[in-house]
Amino acid sequence: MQTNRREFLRQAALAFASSVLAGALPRNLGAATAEGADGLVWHKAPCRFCGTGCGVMVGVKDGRVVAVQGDLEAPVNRGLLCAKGYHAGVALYGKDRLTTPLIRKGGKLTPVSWDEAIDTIAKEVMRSPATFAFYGSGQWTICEGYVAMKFMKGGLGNNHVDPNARLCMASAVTGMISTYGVDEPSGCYDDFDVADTFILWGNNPAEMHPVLWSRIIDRRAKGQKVEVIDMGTRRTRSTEEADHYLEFIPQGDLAIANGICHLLVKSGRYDKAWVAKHCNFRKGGDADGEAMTFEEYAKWLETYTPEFVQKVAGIRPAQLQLLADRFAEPNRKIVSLWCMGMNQHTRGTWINNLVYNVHFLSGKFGKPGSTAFSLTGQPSACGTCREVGTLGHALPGGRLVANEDHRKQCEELWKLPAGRINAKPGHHAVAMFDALQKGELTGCWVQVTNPAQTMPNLNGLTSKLKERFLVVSDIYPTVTTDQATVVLPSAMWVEKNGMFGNSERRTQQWFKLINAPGDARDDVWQTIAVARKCYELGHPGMKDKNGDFLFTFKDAAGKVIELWKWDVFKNANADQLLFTEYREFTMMKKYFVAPYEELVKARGMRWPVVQDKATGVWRETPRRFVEGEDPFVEPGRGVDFYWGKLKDHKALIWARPYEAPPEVPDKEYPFWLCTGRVLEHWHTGTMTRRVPQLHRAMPKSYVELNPEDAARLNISTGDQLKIKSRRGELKLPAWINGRSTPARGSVFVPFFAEESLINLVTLEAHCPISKEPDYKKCAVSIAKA
Amino acid sequence: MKLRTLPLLLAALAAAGLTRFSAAEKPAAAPASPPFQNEPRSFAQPIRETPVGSSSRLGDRAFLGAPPPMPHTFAGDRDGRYCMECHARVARIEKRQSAIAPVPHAEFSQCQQCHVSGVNKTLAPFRENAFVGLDLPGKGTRAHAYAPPTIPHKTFMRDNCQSCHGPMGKQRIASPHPWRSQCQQCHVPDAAKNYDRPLPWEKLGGNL
Repeated sequence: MQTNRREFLRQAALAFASSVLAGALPRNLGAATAEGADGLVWHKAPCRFCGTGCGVMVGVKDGRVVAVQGDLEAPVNRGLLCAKGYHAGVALYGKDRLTTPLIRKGGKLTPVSWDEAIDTIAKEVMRSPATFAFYGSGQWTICEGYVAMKFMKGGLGNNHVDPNARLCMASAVTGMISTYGVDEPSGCYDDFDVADTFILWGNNPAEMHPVLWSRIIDRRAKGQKVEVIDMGTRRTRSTEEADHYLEFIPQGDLAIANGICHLLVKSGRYDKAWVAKHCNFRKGGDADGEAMTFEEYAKWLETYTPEFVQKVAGIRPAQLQLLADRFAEPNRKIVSLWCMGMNQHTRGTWINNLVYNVHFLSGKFGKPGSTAFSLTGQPSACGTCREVGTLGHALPGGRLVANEDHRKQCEELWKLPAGRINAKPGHHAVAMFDALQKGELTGCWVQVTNPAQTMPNLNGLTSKLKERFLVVSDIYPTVTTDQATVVLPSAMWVEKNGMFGNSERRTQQWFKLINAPGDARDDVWQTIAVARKCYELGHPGMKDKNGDFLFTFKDAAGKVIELWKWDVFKNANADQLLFTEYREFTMMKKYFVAPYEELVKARGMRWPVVQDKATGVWRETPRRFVEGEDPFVEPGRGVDFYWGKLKDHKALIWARPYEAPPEVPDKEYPFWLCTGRVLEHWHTGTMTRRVPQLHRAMPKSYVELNPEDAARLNISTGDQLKIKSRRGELKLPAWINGRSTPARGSVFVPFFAEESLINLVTLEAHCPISKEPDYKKCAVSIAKA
Repeated sequence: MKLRTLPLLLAALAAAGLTRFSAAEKPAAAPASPPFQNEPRSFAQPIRETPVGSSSRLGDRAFLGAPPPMPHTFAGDRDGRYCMECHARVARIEKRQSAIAPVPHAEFSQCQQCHVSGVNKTLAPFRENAFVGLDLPGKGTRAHAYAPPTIPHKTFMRDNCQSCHGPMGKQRIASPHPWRSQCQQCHVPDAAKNYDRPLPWEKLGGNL
C-alpha cells in the first residue's frame, strides 16, 4: 500500500509540475474554483438507489443539489436514468429531515446534543456489550459497513452484526458459495449487450432494474433480435416485452430447473466437454452435501419428467421443452436473470444452485453473452454487505468467524491481540429481531434501514423494540424511529463521502458535494464517535494490541487524526483512510478492489483490479473466472473456478429436490400472497415518497387481484379489502389489471407504504442455509372490508 | 498563479489523508471542486425560483432535465409499448385535441421507466419538500443580430429538435422556419451550457 501511495503522490507531483510549466490547469478545476457561487457545477456520483449502480451527474449550485442527470460516461447506464434516479436530488430536501439527535425522555423524543447522544449510547453499550447488536444495510457505504464491523467484531468481541441484505441477497450468496466456492457473479452487464435470449426467473427488471432493462430491450430498436422468456407468478411490465410468458405455481421454479436439466441429459444435448472439464456433482440438502457421479445425477433427474413438472409447477410440457431447446442450442447465448423471486425463497440457496446447473450443463457460462446473473437489489449489497462481510458469520474479505485461521488473519490486520474475535457467529437478521423480541438482546443500533417496516411478521418480530435500547441513524422519521430510544440524524448520499459496490462487482466512489442539513452527521463518524467514547470509558476491546484506539490513523507527520472529533472528521477524508485499510482484506480472497485513488478517477471499476506490471495501468475484470479477463485464471483452463469447493478448479452441479413451501393456501386462507417493490418507490418509500413527482404517481398501497378471482368474488378496482393471514391483517383497495396481474389464486401487495404494513401479514419462514425469509409466498384470505 | 496551484496542492494533501476533498463546510461559498474530481464542470445556469408545480414551461418537472410526468391517463398501467402509437407523429390526432409532441429520443423504448403518471396534479404531498431545481436555460447567444442563436441546453436525449421547437411545440420557442430540418448546421451547442460529455479540448482549459 505504501508503494501505491508513494506512486500516487509522485504522479500528483508530476501533474502539478507539468501544469505549472504549461501554465494550463484542467478547466474543471479552474472553473469550479473561479466561478464560485454563480456557477452550476456537475459532479459524478453513483445513483443512491438500486443495485444497478447507474452513474449520475449531480448539479450543485449555491451549496444545494439543483439537478441530476444520467452520466454519459458511465458504462453502466450511458446517460440514462429511471424516474427514481432523476429525482434522487429531490429526495434530499424533504422538510422533515432529521437535523438533531433525539433521545426518548418521558416517552417523547427530545432534542439533545451530539455529546449527550453519543454518551448515552456508549454507556448502554458498556453496560451490556455482549447483548448489543448492529443492524445495517445494503445501502451502507462500504466504509460505513466496515466501521460498524470493526467496532462490533474487532472491538465489542460480539458478532451480532447483520444487514438488511440478509432479507435480500443472502440466498444468492450461499448459492454462489455452494456452487463455485466464492461470492459474487462471474458475468457482467456487457453480457446483456450480446445475449440472444434472456430468461427471467421470477424477475421484473422493468420496474426493479429499469435502466438495465432498457439496456436489454432498446437493442430491439437497433434492429437486434432479443428474445425474452419470462417465468413468473404474475404478469408485469417485463411480461409486456416478453416473447414467452411461463406462469408457474409458487415454488415450482425448483422443479422447472430440474426439469430442464432432465430434458438436456436425457436427450444427450448437453455440453459434455464443458461439464467434464469444469463440474463435479453433489447431492444433499445442506451447504456441504456429498459427492455423486454423473450417472447417479442422471438417474436422480428422472423424477423431473415434463409430467411431474407440470403437476407441481403448472407449466405445460411444451413450455418446458421450449426452455430445454433454447439451452440445447450450442450457439445460442443465454443470460438468466433473477433477484428477489429466487432469493426470498424458503429454498433460496437450492434454486440458485439449480439455475447454475442449467447453465453449466448447457455450457452457457463464462462466455460473452452467456451467464447466470444474480441482480442485486440495493446499491451496495455487494460492495458493503457481501465484500466487507457485514454478516453475523463473516469477516472482511470472504473470511469466516468460525474459522480459526481466518480470525487470526483479521486480528493481525486489525492489530488486535490474539483471540479477540469471538468464534461464535452472530445472529442473522431474523434471529436478531427474534432475540430482541425475547429480550435476549438488550440493544440494537440500526443504520440506513427501516426494519419495523421490512421485517417479516412484524407482530412477531418488531413489536417490542420500544422496550429495548434501540438506536436509529436515519435521515427522515420512519416507523423504526418511532420505536427508537435514540435517533441520530444522518447525512445522505452526496452530503458525505462514500463508495458503493454494484451487481457487476463495480466499486464506485463519490465525494461530499453539499452539507447535510442542521446537525446531521455521517454514519461513519457516529460509529467512530461511540467507539471512542467506549474507549474513554475503558472498554478494553476498543484498544488494539499496542494500546491504541481501534480507529487510529496518522497523518504524514505521524500525528493522530482524531476522527472522533467532528471538526476533524469533516475536514478529513475518512473514506480514503478506511478503504485503504480495508483493501488489504480484499486481497485474501482475490477480490482486489481498486485503490481509492484509481476509483476517484474512474466511473467505477470491476474487481479484481490488478496493476499491469509493465505499464502501471490498473485493469478491471469484466468476466470473472474467464481466461484473458480474470488475472487469476490459470492459463489454458478457459474457465477456472479457482475457489471450487473441492479445490480442483471445478464448480458443483447440485441435486436439489423440489420441496413444497411451508405455507400453502387452504380452505381458510385460499390465496397466495406475494410482496415486492414498484418502479416509483425505493423500498419503504422514506426517500421517494418525499419526491412530489413520485408520490403523485404512486401515492398509496393496493392489492392486485387476478380479474377472474375478482369477478368471482364480485370485487372491482377501488373496493376496500381485508387481507388476513395467520399472523396479521390489513385493509387495502383492490387494483385489477393495473400495474400487474397476478396468477389466478394469488394476490400482490407492495411494501413501500408505512401506513399499510403488509409485513404484518407475511411469514418469517426462511431458507435454512441462507436464513433469508420468503416474502413471496404465504397464505391469505381476501374479503370485502 | 497562486490561486491556480491551490487545487493541486489540496490534491497532494488529500492523498496523504489530510484534508477532505470538498470544501462544502463553508456554507457561504459554493463547494470548491474536489481536486481529483473527474470533470466537474461549471456552467452559468439559472435555478428555478418557483417550486414544483409552477406554471413555467417546465410544467410539473422537478428541474430542467428531469423527465416530465405523463400528463394524461392511459389505457393500462403497463401498456408503455403503445406510447409511440401517438408520440411518434408530428401531428394533431384530432382537431380538438391538444398538440402531441413527438418524442425527442425515439431510441429509448421503455417510456414509463422515466415518465411516471402525473395525473394526480393536486394530490397533497406525502411530506413537504423544499427542493429548488434548475430552471429553463434562457436564450442562446448570437454573434450579431442576424446570426443564428446557439443551443442553450444540453442535447443528449434531445435528438429531435422538432419535439419542442416544431409546430407542435410551445409558441415561445417554436422555430420560425420549421421546414428546415438540419438544425445543427446553423445552431451549434453553446459549450457553456452543454454539459453532456467532455469535449476533447476541454482539458486544455483556456489555452487552445
